[in-house]
Amino acid sequence: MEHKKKIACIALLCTLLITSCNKWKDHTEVVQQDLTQNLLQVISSNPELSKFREYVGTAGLDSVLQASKTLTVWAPTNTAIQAIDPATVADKAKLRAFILNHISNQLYFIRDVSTSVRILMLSGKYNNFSTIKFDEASLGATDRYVSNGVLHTINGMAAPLQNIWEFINATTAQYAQNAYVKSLDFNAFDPALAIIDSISVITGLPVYRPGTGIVQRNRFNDRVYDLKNEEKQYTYFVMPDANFVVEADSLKNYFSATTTTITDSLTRWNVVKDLAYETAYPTAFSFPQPLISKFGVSVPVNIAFVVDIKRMSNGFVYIMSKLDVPTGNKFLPITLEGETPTGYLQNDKTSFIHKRLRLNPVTGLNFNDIYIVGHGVTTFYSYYRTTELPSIKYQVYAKATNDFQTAAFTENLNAWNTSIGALQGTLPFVVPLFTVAGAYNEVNLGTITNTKYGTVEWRMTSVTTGPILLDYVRLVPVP
Amino acid sequence: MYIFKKVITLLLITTPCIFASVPRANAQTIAANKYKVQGTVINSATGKAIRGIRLTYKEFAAAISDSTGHFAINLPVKNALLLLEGDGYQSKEVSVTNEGPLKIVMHEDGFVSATDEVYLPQAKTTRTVAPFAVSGVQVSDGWNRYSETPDAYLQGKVAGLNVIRRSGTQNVGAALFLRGINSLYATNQPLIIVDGVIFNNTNVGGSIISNNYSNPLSSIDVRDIDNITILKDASSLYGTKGGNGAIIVTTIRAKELGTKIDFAAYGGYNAVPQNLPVMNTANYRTYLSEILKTKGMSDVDIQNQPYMKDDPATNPLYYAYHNQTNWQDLVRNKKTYSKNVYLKVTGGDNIAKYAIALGFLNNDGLTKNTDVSKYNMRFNGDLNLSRRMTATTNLSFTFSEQNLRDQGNASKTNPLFLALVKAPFLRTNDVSSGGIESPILADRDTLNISNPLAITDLALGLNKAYRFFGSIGFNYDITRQVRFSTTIGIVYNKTRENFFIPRKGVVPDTLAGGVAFSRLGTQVASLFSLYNDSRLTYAAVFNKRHSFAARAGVRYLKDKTEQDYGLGYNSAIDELVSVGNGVNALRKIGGEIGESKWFSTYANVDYTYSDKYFLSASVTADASSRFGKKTVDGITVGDASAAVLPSVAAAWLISGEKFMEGSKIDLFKLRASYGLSGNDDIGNYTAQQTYVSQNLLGMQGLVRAGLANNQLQWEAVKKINVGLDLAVLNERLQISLDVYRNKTDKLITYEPTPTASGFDYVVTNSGGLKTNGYDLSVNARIIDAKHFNWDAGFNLGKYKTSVTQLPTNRILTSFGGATYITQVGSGPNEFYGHQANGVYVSDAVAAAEGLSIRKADGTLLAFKGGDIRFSDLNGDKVIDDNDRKILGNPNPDLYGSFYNKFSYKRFSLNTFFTFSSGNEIYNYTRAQLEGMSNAYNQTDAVLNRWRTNGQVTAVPKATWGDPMGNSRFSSRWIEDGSYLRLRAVTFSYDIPLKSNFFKYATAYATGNNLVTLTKYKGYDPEFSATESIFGQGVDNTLEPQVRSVQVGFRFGL
Repeated sequence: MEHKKKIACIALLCTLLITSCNKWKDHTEVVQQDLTQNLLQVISSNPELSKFREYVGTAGLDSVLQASKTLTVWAPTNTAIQAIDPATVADKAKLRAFILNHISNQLYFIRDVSTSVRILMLSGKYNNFSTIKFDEASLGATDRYVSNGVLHTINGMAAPLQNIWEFINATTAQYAQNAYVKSLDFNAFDPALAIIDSISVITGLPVYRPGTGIVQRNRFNDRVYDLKNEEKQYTYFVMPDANFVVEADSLKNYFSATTTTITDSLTRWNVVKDLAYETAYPTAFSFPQPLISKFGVSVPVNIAFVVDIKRMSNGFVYIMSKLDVPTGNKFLPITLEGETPTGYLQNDKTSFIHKRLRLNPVTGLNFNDIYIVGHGVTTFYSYYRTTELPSIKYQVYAKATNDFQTAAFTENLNAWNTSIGALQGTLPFVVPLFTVAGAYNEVNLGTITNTKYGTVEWRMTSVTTGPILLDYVRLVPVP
Repeated sequence: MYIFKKVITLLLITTPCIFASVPRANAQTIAANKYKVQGTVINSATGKAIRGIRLTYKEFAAAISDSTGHFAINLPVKNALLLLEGDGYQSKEVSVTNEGPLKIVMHEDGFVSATDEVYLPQAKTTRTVAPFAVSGVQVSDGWNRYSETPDAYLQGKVAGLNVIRRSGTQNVGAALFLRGINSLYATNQPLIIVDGVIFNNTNVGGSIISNNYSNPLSSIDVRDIDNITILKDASSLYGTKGGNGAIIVTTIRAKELGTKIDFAAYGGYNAVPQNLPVMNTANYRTYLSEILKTKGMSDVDIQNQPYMKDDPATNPLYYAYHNQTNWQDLVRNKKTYSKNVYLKVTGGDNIAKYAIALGFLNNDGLTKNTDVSKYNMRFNGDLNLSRRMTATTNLSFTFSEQNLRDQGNASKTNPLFLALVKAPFLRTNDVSSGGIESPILADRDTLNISNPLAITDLALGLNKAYRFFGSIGFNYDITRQVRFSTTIGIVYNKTRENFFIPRKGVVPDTLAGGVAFSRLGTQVASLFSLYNDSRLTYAAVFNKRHSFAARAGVRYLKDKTEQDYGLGYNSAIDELVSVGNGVNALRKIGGEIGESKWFSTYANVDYTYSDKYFLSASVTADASSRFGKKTVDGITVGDASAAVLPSVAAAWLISGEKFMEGSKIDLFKLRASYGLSGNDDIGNYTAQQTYVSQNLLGMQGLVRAGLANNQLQWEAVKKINVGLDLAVLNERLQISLDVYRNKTDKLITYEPTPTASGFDYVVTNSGGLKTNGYDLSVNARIIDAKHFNWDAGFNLGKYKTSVTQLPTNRILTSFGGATYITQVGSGPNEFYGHQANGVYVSDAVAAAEGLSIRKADGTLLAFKGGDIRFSDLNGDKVIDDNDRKILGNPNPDLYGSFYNKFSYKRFSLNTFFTFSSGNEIYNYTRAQLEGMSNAYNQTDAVLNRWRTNGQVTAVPKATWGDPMGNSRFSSRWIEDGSYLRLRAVTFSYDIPLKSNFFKYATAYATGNNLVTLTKYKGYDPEFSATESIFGQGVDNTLEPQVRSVQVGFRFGL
């Protein structure tokens, strides 16, 4: 009898033991079957994506889709992928890039994209993803989440595109403009990439191995926009060769330099620098008129002359039949603020130099000026340096108001071209007394022509040891 | 201090330990015995007559059964309570109302009897005559449950005593709640008396090792205990220390003169607990990449993390971050064993008797490199000094040495917690870029989580404790009826702790004045306690029917505690582990001294009429250094206040009445008691004006530590108890039921004070609590055959405590992320938080509901798809603190135990189950493991985390930092903590011996915790992280109790 009881007890305990294990199982069990599968498994099990699956295998990317990371896959359907370039299929590297251009790290659900997001693909390129589109393809079934990511089906492909810089490099023969841009390459040293051989015991600085750390850079990328950058989107205009020459030549007078080679280079630079924009304009109707370049130049683009719009991975290239920028637009007025001079005739007069905050009683607004009195130096000056100044005539305006003495005084503005070491002109400035009507208006001093392109120092000079007073000087180019 | 002349009383030799409450024999009265009673005594199992049973009626009559089991005894009264005793049989008391012939059935020794002996504060007696709600535990199974501390041993033994083990760590014992909760801020632990001396059971000074508890009761070996009596209602004799009831422990004494040697040796194996299902490397990495994105890391940054780069050629950290490590296995001891030897010698002569015990125990802990070693010895003596004078001595000394590690809320240094949250792709040791592993342990990782092995292998945590406990008692019989007795006890306890947390591998801590890289500490805590209890006893029987005993006495207790600690930081290298090596500027020295004195005078009268009607009345007057001088209650003596606490108890032994003659009822007793007692755990100095030193910008000074309250007094506990004891069918079925109500007034609370006072609160007696409940205990002998017995029984306790009075509307208390509410009308420690109702399926559903949270800058932040749908209780569409509700409480609805005991010839099998039902647990550990707000590894449940619109799941989305508070304290983490546990199953076999050398030999096999049935999702549903009621039911990752198996043998010489 007791045996039966014991056996019954043991049986009961075993049952209870087994049931007690279920508390965690019920709790941690994955409820959705999808969440037990990885991306490769769900793609494989979807007959619509069999072709994509096949290419993933061919490209050797199975492990990527099985990785324990979080990925988003935009998989083209079999119908969509039919249009694939046979050359891509034949070349494993290309196919790999093609597939990777449909996969990104991280989870991107429809929920996360309110307008359009630009997502870095594993290919290194970026694609746009919106609630209706991935790149150019429309979306099929979306938001299928699995253990290591999410799968969207797309009714199109997103083949990896060239970026603008690759386009420029590829078309140097075709376009003189691009050949010129490419010619701005130069080699530079990047210590981060160089190999350190030792640390100098004398200077304490690293000694790099010769020949390492050399990188090729391009002045256009450095100074205008880095068109290699996939993270951002740009618009780049290309004009036909003839147009490019005409445009450049029209600037010749204004970049008069010591040699014609330099002049040519300068004129071309001043043409191309206004041809790239840090915004993607997918259609000719999408950009504002006129476009304002990074350098403030207004560029009127006549959409009638748009020959072609090429879609790039990081923006658009506009092939123009004609792009004419009025020469006048190229030159912008320059304002030299009196209180921020580049320097002085001599540096020991700091105690006489005052940078003031004054009230303009007419406008009620404040302004800053420079006020130098009692310096005791004959023809003392504060100067304002302008670099890369075109060889052009400037109408010169100045503003200063004598609010510290009753006696009227005059100061002189000298333009000294340091590139050729020659004075370009002198303009006297009779500083109006603050009680006089119009004392707070700017005064037209006359014109000065810069004869050679280069650096010019604008020197506000005292008459003998008289005062210097200046709110600003404004130089308006007169082409 | 107390010296007396010595007189030997012969009778006292037989009962020397604690003098009997009944008066001694009166030779003249024997001749007057005119009521002759006869009958037979038979064995319950075999039905055969028993010979040699001694029958006695007090000191008036005695007889012995003959070979046919027949006896005849002449009694002086008609109604009497006969005591039957015999070798190998359980003693028994039987009410006699007529001349018989009686048929008295006796059970074998060890049978759980309704007439068991119990030790009351006033005297040793039996449950038959005690008018109180008392339970006696005869510690007969201590030999096979030797690894328990006495408090943990009591689990399930007594109805109404809720024993909650603090954790699975050795020696830490258990929190004891006798009949619910009587106090909010003072102790709820019952008073413990060991051999007549108050046993200070507090963990003096706390521990500098996180969540460790230096348990004073671990100094008593269970096998050193003879009897534990639990007084549930009769504790008013302990005055303001008896508010939570009392547990009276009586240690071994020599019962016979012959030398008896018992020796036992055991070995055991401890199993490891089941791992919590945390994610593997693959799932964890996916989770990590997802949550790092929500942190605002860019895709490139994430992909550049060493754990994301899967090419060993380009990733120098590949081997350090591409592993599959099961940290939970690694932080445990691989194989853990326990060993134990124990020797007990008893014997003596008619002048002196002794009981000597020696024990050694070593048990490996669950956490790697933790273990405990314990040495204990005891010498108990009973001396007959003269005809009138006897003395008892109890001397014990225990030394234990325990290696420990941090537990609980120590997220940087708790190895069990770290093992759960540590990234599984990491490696234990440093590794070269080529994959060659170094013997050096890895440092903390880039996710800022400590290396769990740095804690288990390089950190130190040592607790050395010793306790001396000694008492000497004298009894002097002034006349036949009057006795003077006194007991003096001394306790000296010293606990020394050291810890070291290394710099390498551990996340640094922030201090007020710097960053703590390595941490060093040492602490010494000591307790000295002096106790005296002196009393005069008068006992007499009048007219043979009126038994009368009166006592008057005084008790004095002086406790002196001291704790000194030093904490150091940033030793130069990890080899310098002692506190002196820390940086001078950061070193911190501190401590605390506590002293209290308690003086109690008491008087008690016990009166019995005709062995049927019992009455007991007591009163105590207590003065204590802790009380204010102008208390509202009590009386004023000189310039001190004293508590006056009376109690009265009565019982009616109905089975002793004439009209019960011939019924099948062996024992039927009704009891009622009402009494006042108190709780003096109000702080040694709270009533007084005290000052503390304060450092302000380098200037030292004294500032007031708080507001003095000269009305501060004991918490007053009123107890009403009604109970019945019933035994039928020759005691084969015994039922004991008690219904009670405890009401605490003058509850200590922190009452808010006006801002102008400069203090936040003042401690006042302005709260109230009441507890209603019942205890039920049932024991049955289901099969009683010649070779086979089956005993079964259960204990049940149920109570409900509610707050009746508070100085404020409500009190909110936080512990480990949980919030408790205390408010009038509900329980004292209810969990208070938000109600979670699943996860918003989509943004649209969330938007339709329109709930938000309010950010710190006042703007609203709306819930979205994937967030938890919290209940907006006040309907203002904003989820904030005003939307919280009561989510449950950690107090069980029902708790207790049941057992089955089978014995067949020489085999016996004992199964002992304990259970707790209806208690809620805040699963802090799971809140960390499913909160999804940081880089902690999580359980597999988060694989179901919400990802996008339309996903139906119970797990919200993963968001770094959890801005919406999805993992806040809410019903998500409140779990049912009910469990049923096979606490112990013991199999024993008495080896048949023909030797004259060995008296007996027994082999044991014991399994502990073999089965635990619970729905609770954690290591263990049973734990108690703090002593306070605010902290019960919060699972902050403590060492769980493990399954263990022990085998041993015991023999006697």
